[in-house]
Parts: sequence; C-alpha cells; structure tokens
Amino acid sequence: MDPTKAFQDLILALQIFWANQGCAILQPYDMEMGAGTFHPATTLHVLGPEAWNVAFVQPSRRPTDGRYGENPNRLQRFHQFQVIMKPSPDNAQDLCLQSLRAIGLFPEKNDIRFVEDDWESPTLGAAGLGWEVWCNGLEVVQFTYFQQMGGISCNPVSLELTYGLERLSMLLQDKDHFADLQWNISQKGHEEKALTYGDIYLTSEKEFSIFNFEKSNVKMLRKQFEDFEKECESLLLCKLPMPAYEYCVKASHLFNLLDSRGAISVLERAAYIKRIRNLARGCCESWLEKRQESSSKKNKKQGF
Amino acid sequence: MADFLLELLMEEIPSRFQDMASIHLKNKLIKSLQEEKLSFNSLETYITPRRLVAYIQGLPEKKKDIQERRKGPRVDAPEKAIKGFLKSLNLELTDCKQETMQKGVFWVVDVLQKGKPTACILENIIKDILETFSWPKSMRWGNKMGKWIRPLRNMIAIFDGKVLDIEWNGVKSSNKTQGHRILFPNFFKVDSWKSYKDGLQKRQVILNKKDKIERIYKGIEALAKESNTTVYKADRLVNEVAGLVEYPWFLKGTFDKNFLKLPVEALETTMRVHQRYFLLYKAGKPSTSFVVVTNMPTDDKYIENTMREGNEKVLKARLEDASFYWKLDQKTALSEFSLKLKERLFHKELGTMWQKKERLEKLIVCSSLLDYLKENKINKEEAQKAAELCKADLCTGMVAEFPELQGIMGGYYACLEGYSKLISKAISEHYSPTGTEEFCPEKPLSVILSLVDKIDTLLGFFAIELEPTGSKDPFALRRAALGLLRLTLNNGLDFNLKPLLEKAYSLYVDQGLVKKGNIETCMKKVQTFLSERLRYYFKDKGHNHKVIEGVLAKGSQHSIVRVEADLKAIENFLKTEKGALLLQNYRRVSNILRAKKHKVASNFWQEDKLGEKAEKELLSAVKNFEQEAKEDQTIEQQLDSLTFLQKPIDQFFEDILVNDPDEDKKNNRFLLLAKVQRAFDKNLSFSSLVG
Repeated sequence: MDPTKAFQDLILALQIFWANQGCAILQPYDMEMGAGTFHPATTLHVLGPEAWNVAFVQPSRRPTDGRYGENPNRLQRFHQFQVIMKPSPDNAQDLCLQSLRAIGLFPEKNDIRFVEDDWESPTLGAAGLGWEVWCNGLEVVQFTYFQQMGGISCNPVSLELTYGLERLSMLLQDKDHFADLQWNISQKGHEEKALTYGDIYLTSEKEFSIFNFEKSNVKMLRKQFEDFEKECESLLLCKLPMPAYEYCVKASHLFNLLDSRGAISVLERAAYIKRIRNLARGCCESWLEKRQESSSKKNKKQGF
Repeated sequence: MADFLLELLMEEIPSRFQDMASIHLKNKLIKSLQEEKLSFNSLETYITPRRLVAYIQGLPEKKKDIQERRKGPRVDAPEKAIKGFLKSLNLELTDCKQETMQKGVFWVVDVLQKGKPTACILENIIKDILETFSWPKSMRWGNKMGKWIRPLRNMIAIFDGKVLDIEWNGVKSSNKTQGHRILFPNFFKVDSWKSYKDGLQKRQVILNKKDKIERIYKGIEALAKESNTTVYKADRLVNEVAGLVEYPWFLKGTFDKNFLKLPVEALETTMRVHQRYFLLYKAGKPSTSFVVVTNMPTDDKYIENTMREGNEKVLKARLEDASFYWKLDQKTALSEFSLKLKERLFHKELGTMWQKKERLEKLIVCSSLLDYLKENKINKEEAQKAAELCKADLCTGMVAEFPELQGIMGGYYACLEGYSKLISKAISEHYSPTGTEEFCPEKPLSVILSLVDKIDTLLGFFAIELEPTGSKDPFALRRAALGLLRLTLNNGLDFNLKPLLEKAYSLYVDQGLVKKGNIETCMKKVQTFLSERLRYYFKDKGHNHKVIEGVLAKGSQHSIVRVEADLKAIENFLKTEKGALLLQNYRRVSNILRAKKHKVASNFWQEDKLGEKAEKELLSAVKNFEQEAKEDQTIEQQLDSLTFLQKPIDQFFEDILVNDPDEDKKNNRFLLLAKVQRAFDKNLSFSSLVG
C-alpha cells in the first residue's frame, strides 16, 4: 500500500490510521449530498452527550463545480474523508499532523500551517471555529470544532476533520490533473488492470456537467423540492427524524441542482436556504428529543 | 522583589486577533494589580501564533502588613459585649489597652493585618483573567465549558521561581512549554524569564513581534534585491504574516508571464488575500516573482524545492481560475450584466439592486447637483451612464470569485467596452472611501457617484428604521456616513446636503418602497446621525471638543464644509491673545447672568436708565455689532467684529456694579449683559465653549 501512488491507497491509509485511533470506519451514506457534514453520522450524531468517534469517505456532489472534466481541479462529484470525534480530544492537532505523516506528507519536510477559517453551513444551521490546514499554501484539511448544529449548541464539542481526497492525492502523486491520478497501483501479473481516476470518472464528469448545467428538468426538480419538503415535515410529525432527515438531504441536493441550472435567482436563494435550514433544524431537534427519551427509558430499566 | 512569568500556550490564534489580545492582557493585568494595590517595576506582554505571554518585574513577595487600631466597647460595658469583641479578634483582655475618648474610656487594641502573599493574589488574578478575557470570537472544546479563542493547551505560571497553583478548563499551570511545533516538539523546563526567553530562541520561536516583523521586512527585501525588484505597501500583510509564523523563513517563487494580463488588483488579491504572498514589482509594474514567508527552514535545498513548487502550483491554479472569469466576463456587455441586478436584492424592504441603480441614475442629476456637474464640466448623460453601470459588475464571474474587487472590475470592463476614462474611473472608485485612512476619490464624477450611492443607502435604511444601534451596524451605515463626510470635506463640496437627502428619500417613495409621510422623522434622524458622525470625525482629527460642540450646536444650515471652516477659524481665533481675552469676557458675562436669582422681563428695558459712561459705551458697541452683523459674513469677520466688544466689556466691569440697590438700574444692567451674550451666541454659540 502506498498512499503517494494510488488514490485508493490514500483512502486505505487514512482508514487504518483512524481505525487505530479507535474510530469506527463507517461507509458512505447512500444518497447524494454536498459534503461529509451532511452524513447523519455527522449532522445528527454530533448532538447529544454520547461519545462518538467515526471516520468515513463521503462522495460529495457540488453540481455548480462541474467543468465537463476540463478544469484540472474542479469536479462536480468528489470524495471527502471525514473524521468525527466527540468529545474533541486534547491532542486534536497532533492527531491531524500524525495522519498527514501516515499518508506520506511529512510536516518536517513541508510547510504545514493552521490558517484561521471559521466554518458555517447556512443550510444546516451549523457553525464551528477552526482552521484550514495548509501544506505549502494548499488547503489539505478543514479542521473544525463544531459549536452549533441545526441551530442547537453542541455540548460536548465535536472535532471534524475533512480531507479533500482528490486535491490531496494530486499533491501526493504530483499530478496536474485529477483525471491523471492513479486509482490503484498495477500489481505484478495484473499490470493491465490498473485504472486512473479518469478511467473511472471522466465520462461521468462530462455527462453530469451537461445534466447539471443544461439538461436537468427544472420543473420536475422544483416540484420534487416542494414534495420532499412536505414529506420531511410530515415525517417529523410522526417523530421519525432519520427518514425525515433523508428528505431534508434530498431537498438540499435538489436546491444545488436548481442552482447549477441557474434556475434560482439571487432573490430566491436566501428563501430556499432558509427552508432547508428549517427542515434540518426540525430533524436535529426531533432526533435529540428521541435520544433523550430512549436514554431515560434505558436508565429506568437499569434501575437508575 | 520577585518576577512573574505567564505563558498561555494554545492552538493557533487567528492572526487578526493577536495584537489586540496582547494589549488586552496588559490592560487587564495592570488594572487587577492596581485594584490589589500591588506595585511593580515593569510589565510587558507578548504574542506569537500560539502563545500569549506576560512578564512582570519587581513585584513584592507579599503585600505589606498593616497596623490597624480597633476600637472596642467602653470599659464599663456589660461583660458580654467585651467578650464578644475579644472573641471576634481572637484576643485576650491583656492584649488591649484603655484609651480615654470624648464619650468615656474604651478598650482599644492594635491589630496587625498580615499582608497576603503575592502568589495567592496572582493566582486569583490569572483565574479571573482567564474567565473574563474578552476575545472578539471564542469557542468551547471537548467537555469543557470555559470559552477561549482556540483550545488552551498549556500554562506556565511562575512567581518568584515557584510554580503557581492555577487550573482552568482542565489546564494546570506548570513550568514546561514547547518550542516550534514541528522542529522542537518536546516540552522543556523553564525556571526563569531568562531561561524561558533563551529556551524559545533556541527552539525557533521569536517572542517579540517587533523583532519578527523587522526580520520579515529584511528577508523579503533581500530576496527582492536579488532580482532588482521591490515590494509595495506591504505593512498590513507583514503584520498578518508575522501572526502566522513562529519564526520566518523565505522563498521566492515565480509564475507564468501570461498571468500579467490580469488586472493588477486581481493578481494582488489572489496573492495577498488568498495566499499571503508578497508580489514583487519591477519599475512600478508587477513582476512574475513573489515571496512566500514560511514557518519552516529553507536552507535544505530539497525541502525548499518542495515548498516552492507546492506554492507555485497553488498559485497557478488560482490564477487560472481568475483568468477564466476575466476572459469569460469580457464576452458580455456591462449593460447586459446589469439586467441581472433585477434578481439581486439590495435589502428585502428596499427592493433590488436594479431599483437602487435606477434611483442613483436620477439622484446624480437631480436639481441640487446640477450646479456641481456644471462647475466640473460633467455632462448629464455621462453622469447617468456612470450611475447606470456602476453596480453591473456584481453580476460578473470575477466579482463572484473576488468580492473585494467590486467596482474595480466594473471600471476595467467599462474601459474595455470603450466608455470614457471618466466613467470607468467613477465606477472603479465609487465604493471609496471605505474608512478613515483609505483612499478618497478626487475626480468630480467619482466623488459625486460615490456620494449619491452612500446617501441612497443611508436614507433607505433610516427610512425603514434599520439604523445602527449600540455596537451593531449590520449595514455599515456608519462607514457610509463617514464616507459621505470625507467626500464632502476633502473635496470642499460647499452646498447644503438637505435637499439631496430629501430627494433620495422621495426616490424611494416613487418606487413605492417607503411611505411618503415619514420623511420629516427620517430626515431628522439622518441629520442627527450625520451630525453625530461629524462630531466623531472631528474628534478623531484632534479638534477641541468644546469648539466642536459650539459649531455643531449652531447647526449646519449651510454645508458641512462651512462647519469645518468655522471650527478651524474659531480654534485659531481662540489661540490668539484677543480670542482668549474675549472668551474670558464672555465667561464673566454668562457667570453673572447665571448667578442672578430672578428673571428680568425684557419690557423692563429702558435705555435711558443706563446713565454711566461705561454702560453707554458698551450699549453702543453692541448696537454697532448688531448692525454690522450680516448673514453673509464669514466667521473670521464675525469674530473680528466681536473683538470690538472686548474693551467696553472690560471697562463696564471695572466701573459698574451690576447689583445696584436701585432695582431699575440693576435690571437694565442685566438686560444689557443679556444683549451682549446674545451677540456672542448669535452665530458662534460661545455658550458651549465655557460649558
């Protein structure tokens, strides 16, 4: 395994490193979402008092960032590696540096810097303080101490580390275009089986860029947004925060699709974001309420 | 005597908060020590990206003991009372003495109040400072409830060679700290200020920010010199970078010369704001070289190369993005971009940016500005064109990517489309000035476009009652007002702003956005606000606050430019001997009038009751003054004619006793003095000068 030679090895190295720190390695959430932060393992689980240490890859969709596969750095679907540790450990910065070592980025041989970057997600009603971790001027990790999620104050505070895998891999493999990244290393006797990132995703970048910018059905997307918003609300009334949250995530992705199609005027934008935030807030509140109920039941059973 | 060393080691403090944190710690320590009546010889604070440090020299080991005499009950008081007294001090009767006082003989005792050890006091002070330190932004971490700028990880607190016992948010004070995070990760022991300072120096941390800044200037200049280039206006960036590195090293990178086709502001923004690089200039123009200040040594060739190539690659990607938008934007006319302003909100109650643009087009050629346009040879069409296009660049890709280039990009695109230099410049400059020190437009069209934009913003938000409150000013109206004042004063716009403000309001009314009926209230509020900002502006410029109050109390029937002229004239006048004497006279007059017990009705006025020579002379001087005083007199002329009152007033006070037993005489003398006072106050509001 060599994270400086193959994209998949970068993922494996990060998974092994964080598994060794006691994190459960989860799988990507099986829905379109804008970032790892939307994974319920982040959004919902950073709330409440229970310890929660997980890491996972999340394919992330940013329809507006598509460039038909032509821009060397921009993709409409890319991969984030996300680590959540609740409560945030005292050696958080050291762990972050060690993880860079584990993937072949040695702080002793590069200029690693913690540059102020406070993070905010208006659609999730989330906010945190932290840094962009720079390696020779390039942002490689987003480092955040969550202060708020779904409008609810986080207590304890979670640490969120987000690695931009394509960008990081381009740095490690010294490639100028994402498509040239080696996905896996050719193994002896299986040389012809090795693939590049481009082999796997270039066509999809092209097709989805056309879809996102030119062909998506605005009328249908708008209608779906309305439907999903209603669905989320009615599921919240049934006290089913997890299915409700899926509809919130769907609505958020629809908003991104509409946005990349140029179908949302600057005027409407704020209103759409507010609607999604309201859904997210409802889900977070409901989820927290349910957790509290079940934990008090559990306590009763155990005779507390 | 003993020294105190405090080091708070934390995760990286944002650069922009570092200077204020160092000052804040210093002030808090001084205040706390003063409250505790602890003396010291010197107190310094220091800041690096990860540590906030204080060093206090010459503290006493403990507070002084204080002898205190306590008075007990009378000797013949009930035994219970005496016992109670002794018990409260934990003493025997034999410790006490008897003392005879006015009300009898009492038990007294001298008690020695032991001074607390300084160590204890410092422990409390530091705990309190940690608890109450005011960061502009702060956060919680882990399970801790305390708030700090970023997680606090370690604390040195050594007084008189011993570690103090302080614990805050899970961090216990010790005598160990860390040097440069990567180069010297191991904690080392500290026992004195000297071992601390030397220890950091050895471990690549510069404690004194001034030294670090100096080193950064030298390092950049040395690299610039190699290629015959220079850096421009780098002060702010140097300060920011000094807050990003524990120790500065330098490397020089280059980029493709094709990127020089980009507007210089786009290059600068990419380098300075996004990457914190120093762009090097050759003969006043950007070169293809830049300097990076690193937090890692550059002496190893291999490492230097890795770092250089990394930084060059990042810059290349960013500049490619900028070039993409720069070229793309040029395919669309500004007037076409402008149409998209219909989708862009100015404020939800104040309509779209398109509507703002439409108001500006009208406001810039409204009747109260026609003279100004004429005087400065600006034709109406040109002014309207500038207003029509000034907001269009908000819809370009370049401004979406680099919001700080708003206006500037519009200027470039206008120029490329062949609009006149005047128009392009006006679009480019119309957001300026953005602060007290920042560039203020001087070209007449730029000045007037910027002015109407700010007036439109002010009137709009005041009309919907979203004016600033306390420290909250979400729409930056104070900045808009300051901009308006600077534009007016720097360029001598000597006209009354009121009609212009009213016109701005009525344009909102025409668009159906605000109610017509509220104009009076709104105008009043805006004028009070502007006058308040003007007061603030004058104070900031170091003017005498009494004179400021004087000219502001008089109000600005004319123009702000006149107000400033008056202010300066009065200040200069009061500095002269004549002025000082006159002020003294006025003070006497107003003191007497203030001291009089009853009100004298003006119908008591009988000129013939004033029989004394000094009275008559003063009266005729006042009459003279009143006749001469005319509306169009300059402030200098008015002040000059006031000086003719000085001698008669002096004479009057020398010869005349105002409080004459004859009621008639007395009342008329009061009335005469009141006339004098009115003369002074007529145009100059002397009353505030003596207030």
